[in-house]
Amino acid sequence: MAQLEQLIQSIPADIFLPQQGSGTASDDSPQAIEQHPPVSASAVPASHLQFEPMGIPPPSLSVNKLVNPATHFVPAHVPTLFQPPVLECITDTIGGNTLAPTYLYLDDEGSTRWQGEASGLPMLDLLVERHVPQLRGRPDRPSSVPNSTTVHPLPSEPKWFPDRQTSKRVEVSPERLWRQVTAAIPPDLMDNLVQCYLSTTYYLLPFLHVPTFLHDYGNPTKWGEPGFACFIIAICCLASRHSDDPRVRSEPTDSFSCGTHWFELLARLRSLPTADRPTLYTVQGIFISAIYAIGLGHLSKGFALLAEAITLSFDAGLHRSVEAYDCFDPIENEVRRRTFWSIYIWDKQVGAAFGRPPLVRLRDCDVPEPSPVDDEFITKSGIVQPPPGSSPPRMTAFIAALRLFVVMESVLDTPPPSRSNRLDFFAHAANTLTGFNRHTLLNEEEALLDEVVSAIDTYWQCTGEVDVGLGVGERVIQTTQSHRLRCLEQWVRMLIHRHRLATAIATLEYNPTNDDVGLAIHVYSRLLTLLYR
Amino acid sequence: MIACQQAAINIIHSQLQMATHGLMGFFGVAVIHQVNQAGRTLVAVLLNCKSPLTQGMLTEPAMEALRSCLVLLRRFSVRYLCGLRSADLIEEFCRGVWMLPCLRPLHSLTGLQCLEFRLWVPLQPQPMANRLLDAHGFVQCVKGNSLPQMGLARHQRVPSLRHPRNQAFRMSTISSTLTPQPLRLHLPPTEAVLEAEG
Repeated sequence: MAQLEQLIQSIPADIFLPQQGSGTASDDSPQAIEQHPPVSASAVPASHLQFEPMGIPPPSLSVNKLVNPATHFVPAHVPTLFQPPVLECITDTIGGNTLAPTYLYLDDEGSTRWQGEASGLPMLDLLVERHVPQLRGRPDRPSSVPNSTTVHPLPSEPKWFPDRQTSKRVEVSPERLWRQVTAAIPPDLMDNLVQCYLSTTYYLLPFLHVPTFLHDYGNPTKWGEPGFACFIIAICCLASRHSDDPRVRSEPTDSFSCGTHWFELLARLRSLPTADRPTLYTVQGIFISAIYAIGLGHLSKGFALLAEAITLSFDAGLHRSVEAYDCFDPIENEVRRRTFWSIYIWDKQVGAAFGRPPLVRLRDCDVPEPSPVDDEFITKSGIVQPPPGSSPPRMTAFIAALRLFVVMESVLDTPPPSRSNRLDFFAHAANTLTGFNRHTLLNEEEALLDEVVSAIDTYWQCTGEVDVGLGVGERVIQTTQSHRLRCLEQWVRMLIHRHRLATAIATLEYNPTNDDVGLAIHVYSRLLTLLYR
Repeated sequence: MIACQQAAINIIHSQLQMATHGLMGFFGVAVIHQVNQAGRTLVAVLLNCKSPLTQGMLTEPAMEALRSCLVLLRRFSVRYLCGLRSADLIEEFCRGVWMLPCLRPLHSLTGLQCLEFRLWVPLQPQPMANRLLDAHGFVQCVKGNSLPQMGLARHQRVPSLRHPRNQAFRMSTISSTLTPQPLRLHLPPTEAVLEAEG
């Protein structure tokens, strides 16, 4: 509790509010509309403001108020509040030599980027590390450095690019972006949709650190990042399907038009300068928009967006461990992990639903699982262990789901296609490239699945029938998560058995008695299992 | 096939419970994908029920779960276009399944007749002039083999992609599954049953 109180005190949610005690977001919204008629696209009946978000708000939402920065953009004639975003200066030191085939650096715009082994930078980095002791004491050290600025220059090491000025490609006015977004999504509706998202979908893909997000949501300077604005719009698009507010529809009579007009705005904003920087909010925004597009039935668009999210994740190095770099605070470190694994989960889900080849594989990643700690116990200074005796962290349910999807990746890993011409170059090269080796019946995958299921905390295990007490939020979360895990397990199991069935159908000639034999074997094996248990 | 069907039924059963208790709002496209896959699995099981024994044991629970699968997808179809597409496809499969040998004594059919009932084969594009609809809304291929890779004979029946018109099925589906009904799989004795039997 002491830590929680400290957290509450350290995050002033209403720091950007000129008035104290403004109440909840829903209470503020009508006032916001009255004060800022230009930002509202059209007059909205009062009844539409009574939209009550569904779901269970996360605990952080009750501690930190959901307040948009509308009050900061009140007077249209006031000069812009634009301030160049503060570029975080990362000047920590390297903990040791970089042995992994991974290289994290800051580009000329200050963005964290990653390059892999084939870029040659990891090897150069290692050689430079070993060469530095020889250079110490030599003031005329040659500048044979890669075309980048290393994240952690050693104290005794000369600084790379000493004369280079980090370019600040900031060309978007926060106020202009805010007005452009709120012209399509009124602030009160935006608040409701964001809260709806945090109360529902967030539990399935909990990549946000809610206190940090709420702080950013009310921060006017944050709206100078197109990536952040795109993320908010993507959230609104996704949550619009849960809303009965008529304003979420582009066509009042078309239920499929929820958020479609905002989706077009999202595409326009992504063409703004700096919108392509691989920030976490940019990656998350594209990821959420991919989910929305797939739900919309725009499969190719959705797959392309998902691929873009994965590509940007690679650019930012989300798939790689950054433990050796010590350049991210615990919150950012956790959000990076959660974001990447959420995208990974969706890559597997799309692979299972549509039979598509994976875009990211476990073998390409060494980023650890998210820490089994909820947002309330993660601060910039460190991670606090929750008090003993409490229910398991909600994040453990996400981790269990992630492990199930890892097993699913193995199940979905299909053998390379057979080639008729074995003398063909591709057939010859495939033997070298793939190295595919899997038991036809997926026995190892099934054993792995059993292992993952047995490790799920009993708190998240499905007990059978649903028993949800009214108004008990924690019970609802437990029920939905346990059923989600149960369904995921059954999904993977079904894929395993269906693969076996398909293999049997494809390899055996039709015989009506095969099924009977199968049934008999099934019953017989069950009997033997029970007799010799 | 039994385990395959059981897993699919478990998925649908669990999601149906979520929907019955009004908790489906927490989920979205992910559940559509799951339920859609479970539905396809059940269709495959139904199509693969070729012996009287398996038909008697697996068909009824699979059909019941398939109806619930459709109800779930139709619920998502209100706002998810991908849910509508999935429901349409499953329903189209169902329309074919009801005419498939799983509801008939398959052993009475010849191999060629079995092939003719493979109505789930994806359609190949063909000129509209070559299509004739029969009284049941099925396309009668009169020219050109649209499925040469399947080795099927000409003049076979393939399903059209029109919206299903089986209103009786829809009503029975809704009426039978809107109320929570636990899905029971009448399979060979499960462990629990065997244990109870001693």
